Amino acid sequence: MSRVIVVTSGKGGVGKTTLTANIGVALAMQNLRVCLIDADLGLKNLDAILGIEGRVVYDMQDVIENRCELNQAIVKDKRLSNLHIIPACKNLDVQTIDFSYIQRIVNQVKPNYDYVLIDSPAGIERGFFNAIKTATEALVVVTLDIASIRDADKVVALINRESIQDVKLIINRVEPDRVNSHISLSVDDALEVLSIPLFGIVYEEPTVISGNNHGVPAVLDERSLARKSFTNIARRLQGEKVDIVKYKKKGLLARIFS
Amino acid sequence: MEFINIHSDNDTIIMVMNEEADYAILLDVLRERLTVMKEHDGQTIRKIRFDFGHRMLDAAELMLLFDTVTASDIAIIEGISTRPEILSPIEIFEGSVRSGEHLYFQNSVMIAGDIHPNATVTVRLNVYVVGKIQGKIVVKSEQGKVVSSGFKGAVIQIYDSMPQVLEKMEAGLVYYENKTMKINPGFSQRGEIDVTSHRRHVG
Repeated sequence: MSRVIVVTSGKGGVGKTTLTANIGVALAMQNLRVCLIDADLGLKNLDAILGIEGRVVYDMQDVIENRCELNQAIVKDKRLSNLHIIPACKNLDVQTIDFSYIQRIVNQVKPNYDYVLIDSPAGIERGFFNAIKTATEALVVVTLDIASIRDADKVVALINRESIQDVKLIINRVEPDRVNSHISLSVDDALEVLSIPLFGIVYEEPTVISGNNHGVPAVLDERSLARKSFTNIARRLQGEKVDIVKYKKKGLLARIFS
Repeated sequence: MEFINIHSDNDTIIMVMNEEADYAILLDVLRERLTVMKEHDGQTIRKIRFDFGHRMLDAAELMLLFDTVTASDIAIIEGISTRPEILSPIEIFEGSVRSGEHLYFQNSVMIAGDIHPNATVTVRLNVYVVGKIQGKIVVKSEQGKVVSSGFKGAVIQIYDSMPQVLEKMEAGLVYYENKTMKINPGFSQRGEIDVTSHRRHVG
């Protein structure tokens, strides 16, 4: 049975799209059928991060406005044939779009996949609510700063109101040196406020940014130290017990390869 | 605010008394109503049944009520009803009240978690918070109390007091007494927050 998971945060710029892309690829690398849906209709980025921007002929707006069938808007990843993406809208004029159509799209695709990951827009406006409506699980992404955590707290409250009880936390872009010198908040600070299960920690790595900019998700880069973080999250989604390493210091080898 | 709601039941006047109004003001209003009744009905003795809802009356307050009615010369008390037992049900809210949430409880509530910053809880009577209070608590009744294992930037308002910020306090109790909001930090010593100069008027 398909699992529909929304990746959300509240605050923008914490790495929802990056995580959606990398976790989706990691799941597909385990031979699972995965569909990634970019629900950030006005500011699509999922296709760029995955390097498929140039191959998008039809997007969600074309589907909603009946200019194409849904299967025509689905882009298949060239690296992993079992990874499919439904991109958001190219145009600026998205105000008239019926956002509730996302729910219909999710319901239509989910029988064909093991996982449907929905990349939610930032904020708590109608795009967010439509993104969470069809999900049965949520991954809440935060960074270790007060604004991100406060926003996530509100998001968790709203998700719970939608009766999504399976809500898990991913802490992204963690820099241990900043945590240790109290520039950043700590993982424990985030857990104390949010009180939801910790599902993964992704450390700040230049390979992630570089991968985004070149359309090659870091999980595909064998040199990337973040690859293991994304892979472990995918393994946990599959029910595997994988320990979460809270903080680490870069060893010599890591410094050489980073 | 409507202090006294009056209706009739055959020959008996039913006076439903506002549960949360200041008792002295309530009696003043009662005196005015009795005066009006006297001017209207002359010397006809009327039977009055008082309904105080959830308000509890002590002996002194009962005596004042009797004296007020007796002094009017036109009424006798047929009965007084209070339902303080309805105060006892405490709802239990499992988990924390998250940022942005505003929860309302009819009587008292136990929050089995924290109250996060930018969260608000409004109750009629008591709030017991197992964790920390970092948000806002509004207590409608002057008999209400707030108990928590910690206050950190908590905003507390009881009855007609101005909202007060408790920057940092370990476990303690906040309550209202003699027109003043008071704190009892650590449940072992008494302190006082004097809000008389900032109190807003009720009604």
